[in-house]
Amino acid sequence: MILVLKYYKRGNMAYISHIDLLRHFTRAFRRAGFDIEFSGGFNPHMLINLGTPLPLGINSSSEYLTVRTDVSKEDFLREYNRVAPVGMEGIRVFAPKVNPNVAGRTVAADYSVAQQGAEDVRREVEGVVNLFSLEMPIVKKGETSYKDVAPLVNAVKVFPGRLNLSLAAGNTTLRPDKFAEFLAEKYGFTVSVADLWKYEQYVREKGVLMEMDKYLEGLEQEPSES
Amino acid sequence: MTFEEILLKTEKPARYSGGEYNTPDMDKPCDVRFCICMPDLYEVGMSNLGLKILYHVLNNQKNVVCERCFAPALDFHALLKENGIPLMSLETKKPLRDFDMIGFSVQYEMLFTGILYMMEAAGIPFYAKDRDDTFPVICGGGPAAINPEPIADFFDLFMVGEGEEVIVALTDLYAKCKAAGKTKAQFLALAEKITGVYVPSRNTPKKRKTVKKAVVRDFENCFYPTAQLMPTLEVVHDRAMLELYRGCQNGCRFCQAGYYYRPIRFRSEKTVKSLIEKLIRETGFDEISLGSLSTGDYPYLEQLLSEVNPLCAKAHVHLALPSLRLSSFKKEFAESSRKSSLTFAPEAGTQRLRNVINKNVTEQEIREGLSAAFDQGYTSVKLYFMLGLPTETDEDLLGIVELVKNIRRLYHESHKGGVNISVSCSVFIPKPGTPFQWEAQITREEMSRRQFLLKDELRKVKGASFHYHDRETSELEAIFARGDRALSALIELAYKKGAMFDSWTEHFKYDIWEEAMAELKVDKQKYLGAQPLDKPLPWEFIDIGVSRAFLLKEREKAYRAECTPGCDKGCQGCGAMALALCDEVKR
Repeated sequence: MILVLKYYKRGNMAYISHIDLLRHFTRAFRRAGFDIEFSGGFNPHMLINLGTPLPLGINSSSEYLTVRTDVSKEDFLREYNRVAPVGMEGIRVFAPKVNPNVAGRTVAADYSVAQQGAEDVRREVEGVVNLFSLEMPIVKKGETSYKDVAPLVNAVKVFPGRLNLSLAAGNTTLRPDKFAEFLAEKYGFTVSVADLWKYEQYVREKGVLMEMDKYLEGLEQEPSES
Repeated sequence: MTFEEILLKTEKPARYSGGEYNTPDMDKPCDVRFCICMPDLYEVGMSNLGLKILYHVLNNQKNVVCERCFAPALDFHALLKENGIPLMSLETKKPLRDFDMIGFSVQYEMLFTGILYMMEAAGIPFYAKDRDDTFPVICGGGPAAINPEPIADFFDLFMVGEGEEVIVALTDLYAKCKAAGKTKAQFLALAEKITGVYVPSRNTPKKRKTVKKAVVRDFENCFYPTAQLMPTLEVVHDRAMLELYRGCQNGCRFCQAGYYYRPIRFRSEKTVKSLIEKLIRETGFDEISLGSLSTGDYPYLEQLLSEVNPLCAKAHVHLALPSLRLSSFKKEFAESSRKSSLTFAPEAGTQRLRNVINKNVTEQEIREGLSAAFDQGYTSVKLYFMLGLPTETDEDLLGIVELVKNIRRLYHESHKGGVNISVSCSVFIPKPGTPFQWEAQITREEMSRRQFLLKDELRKVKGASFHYHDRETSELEAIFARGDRALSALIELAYKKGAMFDSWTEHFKYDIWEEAMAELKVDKQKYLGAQPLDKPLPWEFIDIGVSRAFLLKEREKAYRAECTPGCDKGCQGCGAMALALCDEVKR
């Protein structure tokens, strides 16, 4: 049976790298006593499919991983939460009938970052979604190059004290921390990327964005004949 | 910048974030706040078993909360400094200065500058005499406490020997003194009465008192943490650790641990098994290392493995058996471990020299052990040797080459394909507490000559590779290992000149040390040369249980190339029985 665990990555756990994350889950699942499917071969390891990597230091209430196991949905969530590190608690478990390919299907994510002063330039900031091109400087190994990020921005909204961003995530990802800092510099306000949350992620179904939870709920149903 | 913002700018922020699974309750009301400091990076420090034991021992006390602090990497240190933030604990981010007690774990001599690095980052004066009662009590412990003299002036007290009982006695005493409003000096005067506690300010070279090493008498029933801290990032030894026994029956004459951790105390296989079950359940590690100084000599090993192997297979947990001796390498052990590479330590190339150092292994045993391993499918062997051992000649060095050739021949007798033989050669460092504590270390020129001799000869052997230790590091380690109080000033000066992270090849700068030695007129030969037999050595006020007479007798036997049988063959009368009953005698 396939199970998808939706979990938090927040607080101290936000600093755990994608590579180390796998180790954490292998150990937590062993503590929980789960019988998870292992790979074969010379050096067998627990088969865990993680979702799209989350940049270091970003909090999230919308992370997903996939395993194959005979543990029931209810037991999985309860037993995992008994042994989960603080900051990596499970939120919900789905039992899709087919492999959901979470990492491959993810196309976008929503973020919220603390800001000061964006209210004063709200029209300009929110207007970036209408731009045909938006050249963002990208510094790599001390060298600056420019990338047109306009196609990667779905929505920008200013709220009191917060800036919400809906950006491409998955095969092509626009890093929310870098983008927020870029907007802040461009329009003259400040952001605090230490307070940045990811709260939703999406797949594309029939051309429109669909929340990951809704997508997974759909896969829990028997596929219809049509 | 806030702390969170600093973390975002740091390489590997998980080193400093904390929040590991199995972190005990940090908010409970307590009388004593203790911080264990490891003068090394998180990845190295978190691999240390002593830290795990002491940390959980202290947090299990009703009135103590114990936190940790690791040496910050240079980038994080610079950011802390820039923002005026003093070094703090990992768990609650409390400045080190605000703790009641700080305990530095000193694993070996090359970490001395790391202690000063952390003290400076925390805003704590280096010398005990410069710290008033508002500063925490600074304690030291760990293997280097067998000769604490080079760093004695920096510390208020040392715990010598096994720490798990002493540290509790100390925190208890501290709580009582604090409640009674006693001064630090009053506390230290009382602390000195605890077995295993050394107070440098009250016990000076001019007026010596003997300090007896602390030993856990009831090892079978002593506390062992199974809900061990789970590191947030990959650490050097990323596995659960379990001690099978303390001490070692082999009595290799160069080995400090072999003498320091006497007498021998075994954990029964029943207790070990139940600890393994708990470790699997409470940590979730995929590997458990069954550690000791010589795991192959654990008398109940076969029985234990047959009982726990099915258990571990079911949970997909790998059992690692480090420190196997060639003579104890049995077929079934090879079968139960992963076949990557085998590591053995013959230590010397000829039987004569192996007898000198009392490494009781014969070429015949090496052949038998390796033969079994090759039949199991191993194609890679790592061999550890030492050069510069007392009485060593070029013939002994060429014996290493012969041994490698013979191993290669042995492999090809019955197997096809290539075999990798990696030869690792460290430099002999005379260590306190061993029969070789009076011996000289060879000069750097001589080290170089012997290393290149081996290098040239081993280059001619197909499939062999050769690695050797840095000469400067080996020399400095030897200076500190047998150092006295005069070296505190050297460590301070070298640190101020930029010596730091000396245990890391890329950070080690020997020219700084030489410059500092020249400035302070430190004669290194005093520490590197042969030591007089008729005068007490600077560390001999520390009683490790093994008598001076026994060490001297062993030294004489070494010069006659005479072996001493292992303790399992009968008690040799080293004297450590005075501290606790030796389990080898009980058997």
